[in-house]
Amino acid sequence: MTTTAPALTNATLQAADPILEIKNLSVDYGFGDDPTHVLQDVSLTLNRGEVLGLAGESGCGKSTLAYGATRLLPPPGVIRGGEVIFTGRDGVKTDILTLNDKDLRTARWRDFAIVFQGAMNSLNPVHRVGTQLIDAIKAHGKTATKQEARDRAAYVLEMVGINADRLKAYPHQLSGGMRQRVMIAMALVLEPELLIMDEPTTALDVVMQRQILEEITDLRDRLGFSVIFITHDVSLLVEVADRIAIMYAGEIVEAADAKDAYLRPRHPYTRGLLNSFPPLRGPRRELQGIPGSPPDMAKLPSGCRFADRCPFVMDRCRTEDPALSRTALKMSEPERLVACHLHDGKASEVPAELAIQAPQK
Amino acid sequence: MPTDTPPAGSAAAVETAGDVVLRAQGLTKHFPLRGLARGKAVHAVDGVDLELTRGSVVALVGESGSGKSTIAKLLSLLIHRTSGDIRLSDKSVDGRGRRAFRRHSKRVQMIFQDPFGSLNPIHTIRYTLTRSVRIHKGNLRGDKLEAALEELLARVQLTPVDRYIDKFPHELSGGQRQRVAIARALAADPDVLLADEPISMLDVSIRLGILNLLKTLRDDMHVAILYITHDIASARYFADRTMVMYAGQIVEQGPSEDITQTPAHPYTRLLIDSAPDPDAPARTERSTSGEAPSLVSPPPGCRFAARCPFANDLCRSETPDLFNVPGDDRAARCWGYSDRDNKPDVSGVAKSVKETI
Ligand SMILES: Nc1ncnc2c1ncn2[C@@H]1O[C@H](COP(=O)(O)OP(=O)(O)OP(=O)(O)O)[C@@H](O)[C@H]1O
Ligand SMILES: Nc1ncnc2c1ncn2[C@@H]1O[C@H](COP(=O)(O)OP(=O)(O)O)[C@@H](O)[C@H]1O
Ligand code: SF4
Ligand code: SF4
Ligand SMILES: [Mg+2]
Ligand SMILES: [Mg+2]
Repeated sequence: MTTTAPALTNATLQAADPILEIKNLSVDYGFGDDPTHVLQDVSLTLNRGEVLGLAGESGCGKSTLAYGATRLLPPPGVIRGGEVIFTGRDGVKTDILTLNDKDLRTARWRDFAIVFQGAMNSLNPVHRVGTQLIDAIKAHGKTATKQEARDRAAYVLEMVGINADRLKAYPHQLSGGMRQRVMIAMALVLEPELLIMDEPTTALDVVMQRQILEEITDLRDRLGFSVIFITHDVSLLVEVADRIAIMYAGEIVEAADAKDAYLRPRHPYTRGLLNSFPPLRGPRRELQGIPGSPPDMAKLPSGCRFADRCPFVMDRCRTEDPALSRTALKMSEPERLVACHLHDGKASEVPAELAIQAPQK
Repeated sequence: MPTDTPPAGSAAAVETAGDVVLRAQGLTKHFPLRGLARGKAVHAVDGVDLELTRGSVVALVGESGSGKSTIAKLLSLLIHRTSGDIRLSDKSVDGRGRRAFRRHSKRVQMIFQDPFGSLNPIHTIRYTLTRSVRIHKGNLRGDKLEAALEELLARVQLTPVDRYIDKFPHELSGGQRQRVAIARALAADPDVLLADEPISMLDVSIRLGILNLLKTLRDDMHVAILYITHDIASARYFADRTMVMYAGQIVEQGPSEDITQTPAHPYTRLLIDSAPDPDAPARTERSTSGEAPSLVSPPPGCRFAARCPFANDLCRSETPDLFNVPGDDRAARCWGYSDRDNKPDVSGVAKSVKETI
């Protein structure tokens, strides 16, 4: 952290053209006297046309962040504070958290769409795929006539690489990968500005996964929407995302350009995650992953939440909570934010594997 | 359960690492269709030969619907084969009848993908493991039972034991549940573990732990392991040999390292090129699209022909066998490796792979 500036948020770094600015979002689970604070003051910015990857172990709050920001949290999830500023193509800004129900419903379909985790099992088994697509179009009042709705459904289906003659198919007649693509078509049918995808390809084999990712990237380039892509597979994110935010125990611990995060991780947790995937190429070596498991969100330790599993833990880590801020290497990487005491310039030495420098341009 | 003295009477007593324990020859499963399609069948598995040897891991890799789980179910006798032979310690097994099934499952245990569904939620870990120990080891009680349970949990690294033994499945993490499922399988002192996507539903940080645990079982107990996955990088990490399946058939087999570094079959190539690779330069062309052929009446010729960039007329008219591929004990089901005059030129498979390495 610099001494002159307050802890920088992602938002202040990204002067570009934000479409979604999540500021100090806090979310609890439970209404009673003793709710679990799952997210506390989380800030994150998504720029227009950008694919932002959100990674971390399960239970670290990825889905909660995405659903909280779009007010789709199922009970007992409660938003306790923060702002989520959405900037439309017309430049008009709205705080999603203060919209009334009616405006929210319109915004949800016109401006942003979500492919939920495990979505491919959420198609209605007794209705044809085409009927479900047409219903989605009609329910949101985009198209007047039946024929227009049908044409539009055929169009989006072909957009995700499925022949329009499959409109007549029932979900069980499609493979898992095709069902997943139908769900993506369902989300794209209204040309949203923001698409949130929660583990959209996790259950699929790699060939299908790649087909879907290529389709999404193509569509993004053609239609110009922004994407929040949630997965626990960091190596996948490095390929598809422009920027990556790594979450741990309800906090963002590192946010950086995708390639930078992969080639030069700064946070010990980022590095651990990257080392959890056996590589397909290069030398074969024994991997250990990250020992232990994330803390119970109801009984968070004081100080750094990763301390119990961190190979570099220092005394200070047990008491002081590290803020998400620029690193001591900030001159060479102004885009990067890290929440770790090793990088605040006060630590005597940064371990070499967390201090890899970018090649000089 | 000392690992060095297998129970008397078990064939393990005479087999050491490197011996074939379970062998399938011409393994075939056709699921008959009902209704309008009556008389037809899904050719889920067609003519698969496979050998599992003590102290070694074979990976079975392939896309969804290619027949991987069906092979595991056939080998564990959960379903009956349409044709072919399964030999356990060189004795043909049929598995019709409860006793034959019990005898088989004592030596061939299965681990499933979903650690949530495979443990009964209303029973504690103690209950689940006790049941399994008693089925396979007789009616142990008291200290003997306690010692057996402790040893099982220790073997899957769930220690201290009393932190886990009286818990219900929902009180454990996914990785811990999968360890309990493995402990339950180990209660039988099996010679063979059939692990059907044992890590694909687990969190990244615990996947390696489970793979490393299975590695230990292979090395210390000389268990033969069939590891089913669609993640070919984990096959490289963990399996000695890899078999690649496509549309019900084995299309390539050989040492895992060779298969992943110099694939010979065009489908293996596609699989490897599809795996996430952060080091690859940005892709400009789209990878092959298309789907596996219908398994109801598979087309004549090579089942991969419709997606294969090297396919020629021979490929579309005659079905290739597994042909030897230069290298150590490798084979690929592709005409390119035959000595036919009109064979396709598949040199592109190897060449482009070398360029990306
Ligand atoms: N009971 C059944 N009746 C009819 N067809 C079946 C049955 N079980 C499996 N099949 C079919 O057999 C083929 C192989 O299925 P299998 O479950 O072995 O695939 P898999 O390779 O394990 O796929 P995944 O990676 O999705 O688990 C598929 O086409 C499937 O639809
Ligand atoms: N409905 C719920 N009730 C109580 N706690 C929940 C609920 N949903 C999620 N949580 C908790 O919130 C945390 C974050 O969950 P989630 O956002 O689903 O994580 P991720 O998507 O990263 O796997 C976890 O500790 C989880 O147990
Ligand atoms: S703050 Fe300390 S414990 Fe936390 S990640 Fe950094 S070095 Fe490790
Ligand atoms: S036999 Fe022909 S179609 Fe089949 S994989 Fe080989 S080259 Fe391709
Ligand atoms: Mg989630
Ligand atoms: Mg399967």
